[in-house]
Amino acid sequence: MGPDITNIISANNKGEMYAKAFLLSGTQRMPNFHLKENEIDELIAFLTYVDKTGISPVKKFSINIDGTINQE
Amino acid sequence: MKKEIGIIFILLAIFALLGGVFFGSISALQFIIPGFLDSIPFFKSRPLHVSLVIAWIFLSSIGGIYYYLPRYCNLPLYSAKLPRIHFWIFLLTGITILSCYIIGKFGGREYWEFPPILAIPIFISWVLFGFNYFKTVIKQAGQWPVYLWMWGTGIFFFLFTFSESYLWLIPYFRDNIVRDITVQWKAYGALVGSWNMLVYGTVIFLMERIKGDQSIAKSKLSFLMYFLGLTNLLFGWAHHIYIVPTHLWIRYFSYGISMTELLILGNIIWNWKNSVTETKKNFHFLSFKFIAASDFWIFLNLALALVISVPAINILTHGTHITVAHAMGTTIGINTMILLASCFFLIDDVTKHQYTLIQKKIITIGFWIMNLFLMIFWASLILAGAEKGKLVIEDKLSFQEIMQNISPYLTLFTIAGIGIFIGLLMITIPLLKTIKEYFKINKQ
Repeated sequence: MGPDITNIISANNKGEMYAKAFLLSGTQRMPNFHLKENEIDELIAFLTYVDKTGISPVKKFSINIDGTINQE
Repeated sequence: MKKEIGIIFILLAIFALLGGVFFGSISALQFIIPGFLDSIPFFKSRPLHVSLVIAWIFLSSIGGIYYYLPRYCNLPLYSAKLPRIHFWIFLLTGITILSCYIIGKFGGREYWEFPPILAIPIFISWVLFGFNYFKTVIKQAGQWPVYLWMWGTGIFFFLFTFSESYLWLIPYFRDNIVRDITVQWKAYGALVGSWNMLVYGTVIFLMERIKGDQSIAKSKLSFLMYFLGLTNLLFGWAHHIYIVPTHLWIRYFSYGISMTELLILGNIIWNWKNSVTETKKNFHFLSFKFIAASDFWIFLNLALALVISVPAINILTHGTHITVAHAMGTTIGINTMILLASCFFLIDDVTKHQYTLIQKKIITIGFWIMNLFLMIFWASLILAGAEKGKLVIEDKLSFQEIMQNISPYLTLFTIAGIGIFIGLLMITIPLLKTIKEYFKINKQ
């Protein structure tokens, strides 16, 4: 039920440093896991890779008559 | 006198259920009050909740199967020793898993968030269970009642999908995110189908025994429902992977398969209307109550499942609280109601216990409290999910603002969760007292 972070690296006003800040300090809901520098780098590399696999959540789509959708 | 292994499994199952719902209530409170009970933070209370509730489903189903086969199906267990080994493996692995969560040692994934090495004893215990089960039921001559097929299918597919849910340990799967997610979500979709087979087999067994009509479990309709359930187990998982890039035919196929559940839904409503009046007199009072409640929840949850299986709706609801409503509504409303019916049937049968009028009253009030709060719990999750889905698509608010908008529903959901816990305590404490008396009498 947390935020969708699929495209956090390429999102406007966010990106690598934004994600790093969250990982370093945590938030009220996400604890600071006290990750090491290399672990944070690996997570950022993973998020960068995930970002390129597609867009989520899908916000632009058209609905076919049979209830299926076409992503735009 | 040796204690019945079935009742020992059921005792552990009830503790797992109460523990699971307790940690679920804690997690819900932490969700709306950040910082609540910092000693067991959300990332620990959530897996404690999930694993204990899953343990409840398995332990109570397995306890029932071990008890019903020799007592009611005229099928003495191939080995009386294996169930005890099975129990001890479950208990010791379970304690290790809970300890890992408490000290913060994870390493697994959804459902099985414990270190993957602990999957080995779980797998072995299921192999022992499956070996004993099939060696036992193979002796059954003539046509098998449908529940024997369902239980066997559940055991086989649990082993299959449980292994599949660990494929991510192999680099071929882990190194490609799309392949990894597809396999993982597929495994979880089918895994739920496997334990549903155990639960649905149990309810057909109970209906047959309580009504005293053996034709129920051998009817064409029961077998049609079994094959539809099996088809859903094999293919219906695909609505879990709608948002992952897959071949178009897989989406269409799974969509069609999901829609076949309409047939089951129609049958269930039809049978429900008839069976409530016809079997009421013969049914065991408490078991009947819980089975009747599960029928009601089947109707509501299947309707919801069908709606969210439509791709155009799924795109709005996927990953929102509506998915949680679907999961919780089925786990509590269907599985738990059926398994509580089985607990009452089995414990009453073993102990020959007659509940006092006050005990019956407490259980009945607990039953209504549980159902009433489950309705509030389920509805608040649907409302929260619908609002969140709409706001995400509109794309005008930040995540924090969206969560702020749905927080009243989540507060209601938390209060309802605590209500369910209170109802469950009222239902299970008389059961635990009965088991305690049985253990006292049968002290070795």
